[in-house]
Amino acid sequence: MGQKHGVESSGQLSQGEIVSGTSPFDDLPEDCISNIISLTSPRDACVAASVSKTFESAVKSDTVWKKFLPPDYYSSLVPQLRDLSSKKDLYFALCDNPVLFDHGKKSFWLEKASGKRCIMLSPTQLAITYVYDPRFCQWISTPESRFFKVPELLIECSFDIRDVMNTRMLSHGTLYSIYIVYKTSRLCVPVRVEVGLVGVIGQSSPRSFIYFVGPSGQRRDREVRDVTKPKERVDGWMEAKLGEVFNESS
Amino acid sequence: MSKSEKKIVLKSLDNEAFEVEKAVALQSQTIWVMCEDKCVGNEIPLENVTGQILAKVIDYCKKHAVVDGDGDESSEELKNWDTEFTKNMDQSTLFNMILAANYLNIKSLLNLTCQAVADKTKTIDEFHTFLNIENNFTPEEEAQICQENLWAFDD
Repeated sequence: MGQKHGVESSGQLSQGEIVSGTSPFDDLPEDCISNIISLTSPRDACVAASVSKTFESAVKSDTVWKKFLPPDYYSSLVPQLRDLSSKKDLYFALCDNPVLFDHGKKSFWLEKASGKRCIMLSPTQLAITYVYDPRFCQWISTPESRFFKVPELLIECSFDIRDVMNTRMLSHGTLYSIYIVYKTSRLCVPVRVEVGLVGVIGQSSPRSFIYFVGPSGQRRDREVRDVTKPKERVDGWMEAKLGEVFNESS
Repeated sequence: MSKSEKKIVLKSLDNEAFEVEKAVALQSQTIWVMCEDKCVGNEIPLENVTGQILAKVIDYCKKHAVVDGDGDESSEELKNWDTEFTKNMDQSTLFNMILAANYLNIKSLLNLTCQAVADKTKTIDEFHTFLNIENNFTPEEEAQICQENLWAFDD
């Protein structure tokens, strides 16, 4: 409807005071165009770059990407990225290369299309049962992990993973999905997973079953009931969705 | 402050004069600076804004001068008023409002009008139709730009 309105009104325009063959919007100061683009989303901004030369130039402006970057990126998060000359480069660097912060206990990146903040917690940050008991678990360093050390389970057992995290680190007004990221070499049986969120009213303990399979997806049992199927990530790890939480806080 | 000092006259490009409260007009940083400079009298000529657009800008400033600083309920009301204000503006009015807000340096009005355009344009087609902007890339340039931003076109 908005489109139709626009076309009609530009028809009236030619009878009115502005005499111009092309759109007045191409004559807006570049600052204004950048301002408009900064109010859309990173994805829309990249689409807008192919509108016209003026738009392409406006999309490159720091005004646009400053809006899409988290306000506190410069302080604690990415001192190593400070040298990047444009905010647009910084934005894409933060999408493509997660950075470690909080003494290597958390990994941070931005979702490219929306600029929403994503966080991965290191196993050293999580409270996991038996994780420091050498009969159950050993800590290994692997170049495949973004963290310095990860625990390797030595035997099958049930365990708890707990953590408390400040929701202000996340983007507000955003529905987050929670994943567990792992690797496995064994055939797996479905594992019952319970996810609880403390301090969130009305979003308690959804129960689900997950086959903690590897990329080849081999299973020992036939598939029954609702089972979450893990997916292989681009980095070669597997991820299984545990649940969702809506982050209201700002 | 005497009564006459509280009022100010804004004169548009097409010589339309508007008498407004000073508090209303001073939401424009440009007018604020002009008044501070004392190089103008009570009448301020605005060479870039037509009477038709200036009237709308003044409507906006009046509304915001009255309600700003009040409780939550009025800020909700103000938001609704803002939505209504830009809802039915056609493309050329929006364009001129953005120019006026930019020239007069009224940040909240600039954001509001830019947001209204941003909300109406999500795809390349919407940019081209709503904003009526001509694609002035050569086919090679366009192919390169699209290639660079290929990910943004995926569903």
